[in-house]
Amino acid sequence: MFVDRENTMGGRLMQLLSKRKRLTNLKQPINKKVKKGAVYYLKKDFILYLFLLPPIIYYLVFHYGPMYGVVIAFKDYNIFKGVFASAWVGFDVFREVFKMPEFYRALRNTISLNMLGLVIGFPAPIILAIVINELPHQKFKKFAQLIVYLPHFLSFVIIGGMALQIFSPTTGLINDLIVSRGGTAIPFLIEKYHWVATYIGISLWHGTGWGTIIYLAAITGVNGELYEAAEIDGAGRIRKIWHITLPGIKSTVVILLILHMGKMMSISFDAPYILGNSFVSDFSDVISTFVYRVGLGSSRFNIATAVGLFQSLIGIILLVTTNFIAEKLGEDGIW
Amino acid sequence: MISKQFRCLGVFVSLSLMMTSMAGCSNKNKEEAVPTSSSKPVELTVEVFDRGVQGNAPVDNNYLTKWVNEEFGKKNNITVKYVPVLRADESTKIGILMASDAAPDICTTNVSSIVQNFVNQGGIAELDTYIDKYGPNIRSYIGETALNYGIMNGKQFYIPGKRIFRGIVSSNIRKDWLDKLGLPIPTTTDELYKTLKQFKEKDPGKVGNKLIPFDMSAQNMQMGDYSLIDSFKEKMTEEQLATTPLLSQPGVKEGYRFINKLYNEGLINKEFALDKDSKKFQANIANGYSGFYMANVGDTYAVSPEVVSTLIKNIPTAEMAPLDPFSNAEGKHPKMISSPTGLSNFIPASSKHIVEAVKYLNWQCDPKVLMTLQNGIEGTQYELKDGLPSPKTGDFEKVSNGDYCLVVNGREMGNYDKTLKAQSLQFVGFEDLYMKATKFATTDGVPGVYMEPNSVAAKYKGIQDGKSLDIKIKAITASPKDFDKVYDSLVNDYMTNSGGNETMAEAVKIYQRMYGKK
Amino acid sequence: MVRKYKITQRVKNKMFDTLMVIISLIAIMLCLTPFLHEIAISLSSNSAVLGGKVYIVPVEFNIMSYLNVINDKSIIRSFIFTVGLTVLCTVVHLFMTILAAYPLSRRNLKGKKVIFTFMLITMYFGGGMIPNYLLVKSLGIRNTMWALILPGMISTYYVILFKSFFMNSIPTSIEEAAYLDGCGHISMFIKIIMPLSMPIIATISLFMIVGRWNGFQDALMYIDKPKLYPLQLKLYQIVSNNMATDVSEAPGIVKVSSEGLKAATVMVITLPILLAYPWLQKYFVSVNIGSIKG
Repeated sequence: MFVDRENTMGGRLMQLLSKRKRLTNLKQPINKKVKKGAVYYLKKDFILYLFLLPPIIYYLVFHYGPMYGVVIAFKDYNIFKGVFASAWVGFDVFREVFKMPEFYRALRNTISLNMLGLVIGFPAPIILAIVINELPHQKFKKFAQLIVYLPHFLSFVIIGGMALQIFSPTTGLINDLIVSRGGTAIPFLIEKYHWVATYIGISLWHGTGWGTIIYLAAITGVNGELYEAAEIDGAGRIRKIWHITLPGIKSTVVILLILHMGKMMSISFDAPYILGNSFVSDFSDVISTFVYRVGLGSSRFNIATAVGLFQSLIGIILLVTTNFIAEKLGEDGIW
Repeated sequence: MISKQFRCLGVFVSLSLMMTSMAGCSNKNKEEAVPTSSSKPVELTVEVFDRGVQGNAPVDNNYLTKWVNEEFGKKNNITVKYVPVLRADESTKIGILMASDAAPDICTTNVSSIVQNFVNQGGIAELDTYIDKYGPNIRSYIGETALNYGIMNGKQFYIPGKRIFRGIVSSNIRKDWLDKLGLPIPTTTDELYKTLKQFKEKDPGKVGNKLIPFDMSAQNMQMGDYSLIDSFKEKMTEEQLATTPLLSQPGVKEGYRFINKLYNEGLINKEFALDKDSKKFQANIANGYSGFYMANVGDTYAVSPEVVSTLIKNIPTAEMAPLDPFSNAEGKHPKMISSPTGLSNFIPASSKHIVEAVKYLNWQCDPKVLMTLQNGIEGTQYELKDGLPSPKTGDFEKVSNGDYCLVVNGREMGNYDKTLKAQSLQFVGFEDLYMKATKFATTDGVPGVYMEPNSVAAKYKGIQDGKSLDIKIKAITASPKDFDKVYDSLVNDYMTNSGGNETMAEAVKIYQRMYGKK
Repeated sequence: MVRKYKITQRVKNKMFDTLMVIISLIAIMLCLTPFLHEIAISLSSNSAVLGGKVYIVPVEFNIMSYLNVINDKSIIRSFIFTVGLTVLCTVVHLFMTILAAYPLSRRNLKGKKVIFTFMLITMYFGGGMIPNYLLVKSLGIRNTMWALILPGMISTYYVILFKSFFMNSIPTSIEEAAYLDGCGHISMFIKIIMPLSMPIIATISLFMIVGRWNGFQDALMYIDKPKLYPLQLKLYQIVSNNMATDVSEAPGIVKVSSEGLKAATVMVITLPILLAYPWLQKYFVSVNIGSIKG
C-alpha cells in the first residue's frame, strides 16, 4: 500500500539536484599524489569516452563547424564574396549599432520585459504546480494538468488575433463590457504601460501551464514520509507546503533559475512582434524585433550577427555568474 | 592540469574549425561541370512563390508545370524545375540562397530593392548580350520603357515584367447610404468630408455605435499615401519629388493634419492602428459597418477573401461603388501609380544556365503562351466567352497562375480594353465595378520618378520603414493641438537619427547624375 | 480535545481544498476558453466568422472547414510525414543526448568539465543562418528528412537535465552495490541506470516530441519541396499569408485562406500532440521499487 514516493516520476526526475551528501563519499577515497597518465584514464573509462565520441563529433560538425560565421560581425559582409573574402571592418559594425538610439531602446526593453517576466513568470509555474498538486481528486488533477498547458500549443500568430478580440479599445470583449456598464475603456494594447502589463499577462498565460510539468515532477519526488511526519506534528496544509514541498524542489528551482538567468539577454521574436504596434513601439521594440527590422530587413547580416554576439557574451557571463553565486550559497550548479 | 586539458581541447577544436570551414569554403568554389551540348536535358531552376493557399495543387508539381515542360522544356532539351519560396519569407530566403550559391537560375521578386542590393554586391548576371541573342521577344514584348528599369550602371541586370494596370488605389463608398441620404457621389475632398460627417450624424445604415464612416487598417494605411496625401502635395520640382522623403515633402504635413482631423472627429475607426493584417478592416466592410474605404484596386471585390460579396449576402440592399474623391487645389485627382514594371526577374552570376533562363523568359513573351500560363487549359480551368477567358468553377487543379507568369502583370489580351475586360472576369459578380475602379486608379496618375538604386536608402530601409509607419500613426492619433509638435519632432528625429538626411543627400547626388543639375 | 482539534483541521483542509479548486478552475477557464474559441471558428460558417460573430459556440454550424482540410491531400501527406519525422527524430535525439549526458554524470571521468564546457559554449555561440545553411548544403541533406533531424540533434539544455538526474537522483548505494558485483560501465548503464531513468526519459521525450511537432524554422530554411513541409510549416504559410502585402502584385491573385480553414488546420495540427502527454503519463511512474532497499 505504501507508495514509494522516491520511485515515482518526479521522485526520480527531480531529485534533480537534491543534495545527497553521500555522493561526496565516492570521490577519490585515497588521495595518492600519483599523477596518472592520460592513457590510464582512457583505458579505465574507455566505454564512457566511446559514448562521448558521437556527440562530440556532432558538436564539432554542426556547431563548431559553422562557428566561423561569428566573424561576419566584423566584416562588410558581401554574400557573394562569402565570409572569408569579404572586407574586414573590425569593430565598425558594433560601433554602428551602438550609435543607434534604437538599439539602446531595444536593449532597455528587452531587459525590462525579461526582468518583469522573471519576477512574475518564474514563480508562477511553481505556484500553479503546487496548487495542482494539492488538488483533492486524482481525476480533476489530471484534467487540470492537461488543460493548463494547452496555451503553449497555440502559436503567437493565432494568439495575436485573439488578443485583439479581447483587448481592443473599442471593440474588444472586455472594453465592450466595461463601456456598456458606463466605464471608460482600458487601453490594454495602445498605451505603453498598459501594454507591458498585457504583454506580461499574455506571456504568463502562454507559458505557465507548460512550466508546471517539470515542477510537478519534482514535487512528486518529495518523500511522502516527511508529509506524514509533519501531519503528526500538527502542521496545516500551508505549513507543509512551506516546510516540505518547497525545500524539496529547491534544487530543481535553482538549476532552472540559473539557466533562465542565462537567457536574460534574449527574447523571443513572435510575442513582441505580433502583439506590438506603433502606439507602444517605445516599449515593445526589443532586440529580436530590432534585429529583424534593421538586420534582416535590409539584408544586413553583419548587424544581425554583431547583435547576436553581444547577446551571447552577456548571456554566458550571466550564466556563469549566477552559477557561481548558487554554488557559493551551497547549491549544486550546472557543471 | 586543467589548463593543459583546456589547451589541448582548444587546439583540437580550432583545428577542426579550420578544417570544416575550409571544407565549406571550397565547396562554394567547386564548379560543377555541366555539359553544354549533350543529349541529357539541361535543368533550369525557376523560383515560384508558394502562397500556401488551401486547395491549390502543389506549387512545384501541377498541370501548369507539366505543361511548361511539354511545350517549352521538351522542345529545347530543358527540364524546368520549380523551386518554391514561401511568399511570406521571400527576401530572407532568397538572401540565404544567394549567399550559399543555391539560388535558382531564375529568381524573381516584387521588391526591386532586393535585386538592387544583390547587384551592388556584385552577384547578378549581366543580361544585355544574352537578351540580344536569345531574347528578341523580350525586347519587343516588354518594351524599352519597362526594360529600362532593370538597367543599373548602364547594364541590364534584371528583366522587369510588363505591368498593364498601373493603378494602385481605389476608393469605395456605400452607394446605398448615399442614396438614402440623397447625396451625390463625392468628387472633391470637401464633398467627401461633408459626406462622412453626414454618415456619422445620420447613420443611414442603422448600424449604431459600430458605424465607421471611414475605415482603415494599419496595413492599408499606405493607400492614403497614394491618393489622399497626393492631393495635398504642393507644387515641387521633380528633383524634390524624387529625393525628399515623403513626410518632408511640401504639403504632406497638411494631408496628415486632415487625416488627424478626421480621426479626432470620430470619422475614422479608433483602432485602425491595431489592425495589422486588415482582418478587422475586412470584417467591418463585410458586416456593413464601413461607409468609405481605400484599398488596393479590386481587392475587396475579389473572390477571396470575399468581402463585398459577403456584405451583399448579409445586406442584400447594400451597394458598393468606386469613386475618385480626393481633389487638389486645381480640381485634379492626382494619385501615385506604379512604374510600368511587374516582377523583377534576375539571374545569379554563378548560374550555369543563363542561356536557358533567357530562352524561358523569351518563350513566355508570346500571347498564346501567356493565355495558358495565366488562365489554365481551355475547357478545364476556363472557357472562352466572347473571346475572353472566363474562369470556371469546379473540381480541377487550381494554381496561382500569376506566379508562373514572369513577364507580364495582368491578363494580357493584346489591347488594353480587351485586357481590362479579361481581368475583370476574375472578379466574379463585380466586373463592372472593377473596371470602373481601375479607371479611377489611373486618372491624373502621377508616375514616380525613375531613379537608380540608392545604396544609402537600402542600408536604412528596415529602420525607415518602421519609423515612417510609427510617425504616421502617432501623428494621426495625436490630439489636434499636439499634431504639429508630434509631427515636427518625429520627422526631425527621422531625418537626423534614422538616416533621413543621408538618404536624401545620396538621392540628390543620384538625381543630378542622372538628369543633370536643374 | 484531540477530536476537536482534528475537526478544525478537517475544516481547514476543506477550505484549503476549495481554494485550490477555485484557483485551478480559474486557470482552466483561462486556458480552455481560447481553445474553445478556435474550435468554434472551425465549426462555423465563413460569413459568421468574417462578421466577427463567433465567440465560444459555433455559429451556423458546419464542418466544411474540416472537410476541406481532410480533402486537402497535401495536409494529409504532411501529417503522415510529420508523425514519422517526430518519432524518428525523438528516438535519435534521445539516444544521442543520453550518450552525451551519461558519461558526464560519472564523477570520476577525467576531462568531463572540459567536455561539458565545450558543449555549453554552443548554447550561446553559433555561426548563424548562412554558415549553417552552407553546412547543410555541403552535407547534401537539403530537402531530406535529415536536415530536420541532424542539425538539432543534441540540445545542451537537455544534456544538463539528464546529467543532473543521472548524477543526483540515482542513489549511489545502488551504484556502489553494482560496482562491487563487478559491473562494468555498459552493464551499469543498461541494467541499472536506464530502468531507473524512465521518468526523466519520459519527460524529455515529451519536450522533444512537442518541440519537433511544433517546430518549423528549420524547415523554412532547408526544405523547398512542398511534400516535405512539416505540418506547422503549412500552418505558418496559411496563417502568415495575410501579413505579406504587396501593392504591386497582379490583381485578383487569390491571397488568403479563410478563417475557418485556418482554425480547422490549427485544430488538426494541435489535437494529436495533446494526446502525447496522457500517453506518456503512464511512464512517469517508475518500474521497479525494490532496488533501493537492497
